[in-house]
Amino acid sequence: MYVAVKGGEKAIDAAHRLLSEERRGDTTVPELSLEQISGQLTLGVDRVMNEGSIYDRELAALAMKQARGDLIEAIFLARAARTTLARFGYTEAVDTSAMQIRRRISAAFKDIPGGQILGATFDYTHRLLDADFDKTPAGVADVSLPRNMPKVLGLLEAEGLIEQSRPSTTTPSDVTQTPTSFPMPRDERLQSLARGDEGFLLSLAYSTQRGYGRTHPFAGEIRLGEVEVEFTPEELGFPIVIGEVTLTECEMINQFKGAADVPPQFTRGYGLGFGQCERKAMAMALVDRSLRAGELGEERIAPAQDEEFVISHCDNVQATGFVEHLKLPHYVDFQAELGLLRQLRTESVAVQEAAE
Amino acid sequence: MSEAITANPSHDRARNFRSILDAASHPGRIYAFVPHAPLGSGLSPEAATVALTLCDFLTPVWLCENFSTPATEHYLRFHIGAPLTRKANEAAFAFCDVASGVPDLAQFSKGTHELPDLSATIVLQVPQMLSDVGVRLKGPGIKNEHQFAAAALGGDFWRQMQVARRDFPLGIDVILVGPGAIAAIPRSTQILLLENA
Amino acid sequence: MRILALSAWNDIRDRGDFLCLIVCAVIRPPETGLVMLRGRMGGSGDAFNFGEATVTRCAVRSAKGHEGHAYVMGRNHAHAQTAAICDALMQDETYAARIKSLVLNPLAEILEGKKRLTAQKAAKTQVDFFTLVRGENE
Repeated sequence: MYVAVKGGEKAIDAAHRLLSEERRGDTTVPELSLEQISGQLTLGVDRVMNEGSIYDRELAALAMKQARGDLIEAIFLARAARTTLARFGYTEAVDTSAMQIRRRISAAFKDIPGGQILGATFDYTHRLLDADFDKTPAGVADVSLPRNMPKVLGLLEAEGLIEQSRPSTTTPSDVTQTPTSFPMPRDERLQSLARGDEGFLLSLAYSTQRGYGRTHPFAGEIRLGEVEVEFTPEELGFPIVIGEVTLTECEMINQFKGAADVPPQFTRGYGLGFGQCERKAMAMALVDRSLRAGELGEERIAPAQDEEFVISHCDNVQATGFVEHLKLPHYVDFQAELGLLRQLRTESVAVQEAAE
Repeated sequence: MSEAITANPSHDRARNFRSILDAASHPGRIYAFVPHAPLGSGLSPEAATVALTLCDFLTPVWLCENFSTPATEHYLRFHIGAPLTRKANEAAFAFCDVASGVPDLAQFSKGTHELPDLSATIVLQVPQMLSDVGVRLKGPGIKNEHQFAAAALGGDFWRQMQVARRDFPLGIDVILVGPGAIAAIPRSTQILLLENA
Repeated sequence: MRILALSAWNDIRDRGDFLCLIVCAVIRPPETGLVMLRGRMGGSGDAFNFGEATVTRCAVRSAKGHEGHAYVMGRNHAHAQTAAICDALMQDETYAARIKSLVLNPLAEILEGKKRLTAQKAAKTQVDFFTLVRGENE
């Protein structure tokens, strides 16, 4: 039971002032700028955009600064900012095959059309903390990458070795507009996973690799780069390019599966996110595949296959809302518990004395 | 001011929303309604303001014959992005000019038992509204009874309204706009015609 | 329109200052909102919604009655308004050629240059794998 408590405005004001002071810290030290945060803590900003579900670097950088680096607090701020803006509509589906590639790898095939492009990655660093960041400028090749970098999974598709990925004409659901219920269609799951907590999804993905669900995955392709965004305003009636977004896309190739009428084929998992978010995109793809258990006739035995468990708990704003609500006054409730406990103890003592 | 939206659209929109909310909370009571809508809608400024306040790109809009002009359709698409529909039962909002006759209320969606709120809201543009005369309204939001009348809305309309609320909680909700004024009759309101007295 | 939406505001402002001197009636002042982005499962399958982006839109009408519309990602009102003015004026023969040569073409070149540099830097990180065959060097 929640008790309405009055008063405390002065204390709250004082708390906010103290918060501001601690946020700023030592005033002899230069204050952080949003450009610094966006430009140098880029991947943190990417995460806030992803889970805050709003692509706006400056806004996400401000959220990070205001939240003093607490990313889930920043994500909360970003989600709240979303609610103050009117929605104009839905974009055309982005075409990741036309992406301007900055990084593109496949662990399934060594030689792929367009090549393996490492891009800017931590993968081959030795993870040694080093205060002297190397400031050598990046090299520039004489030739650009080929403009056309076809999808790796297209190669498998062409040979019929992997399930096809073909669009139907149905309009996707939107979990931000209509209440969800289980079982969920895959489009709603992917939307939920896209804004889901990276840590939670990472652990679930890890669990699928450790035997909690047998998907046996390969990273078919991971690509990072810019794609153009097209939108059709009602008043114009035709699509226009409104800008571009940086996206990370991951396609996982999973265990083959056959049915009575379908020969064995590889199955797919898909991950997509804002900015450079490889770990998130990979985890999303593994969990996506895992949650397709029903559709693929697999027995659900692992937590990562439990749709209600995964989707109900993957939103960190919802999660922290409920966990942190425990800080609200529960005085009356607790007094009741205390009263009950005392009574039980009295009864228990009385019973023991009677027995002696 | 030309066609531009007002200087402080958020505040104006919030005030307009508040007026609509007050009207729906006190059925039949006529509230002052200050329109804030760019010109050129083909609707009255008050009706256009209701459209701008309540409609968006997810609410299909149906227009009565008088209002089905290219200018009005362009206006709604441009300022609101509202999808337009010719199928009355698909409409979330219907805009009707009673000067062209009272619409057939049965053609609009009354919602479903699972989601009664998926019904249509009918916005009626009337020349004038009056209190203390006309039909008697009873129900939630009304102390005892309230009398309400609007020009061009006669027995036929009110009988239709009585029929529409028979499947409560399914039903339609009506917003009435006149010059500088707004009133509302949600489905929860009981309508007593003079002959039922 | 595409060039203006993709270009950085600083680049546009440097070249398009004069655009704001041309009087246009504002039909819709710059307004920031959101669009929901859609992707496709497997990159080519059914669409799904995966997150929103801020967008600013603006609409103007030139003195000659041409309507200009702009939708630009981000929250920059000046960017959207300039793009709308440009869209209106591009429909006017007296301005179109000049705007193309003074604004659009240079911006397109800047965009092209940025893309080329990005592609060249990425290409520098291209891997040439060698398969090691055991026993080859024995």
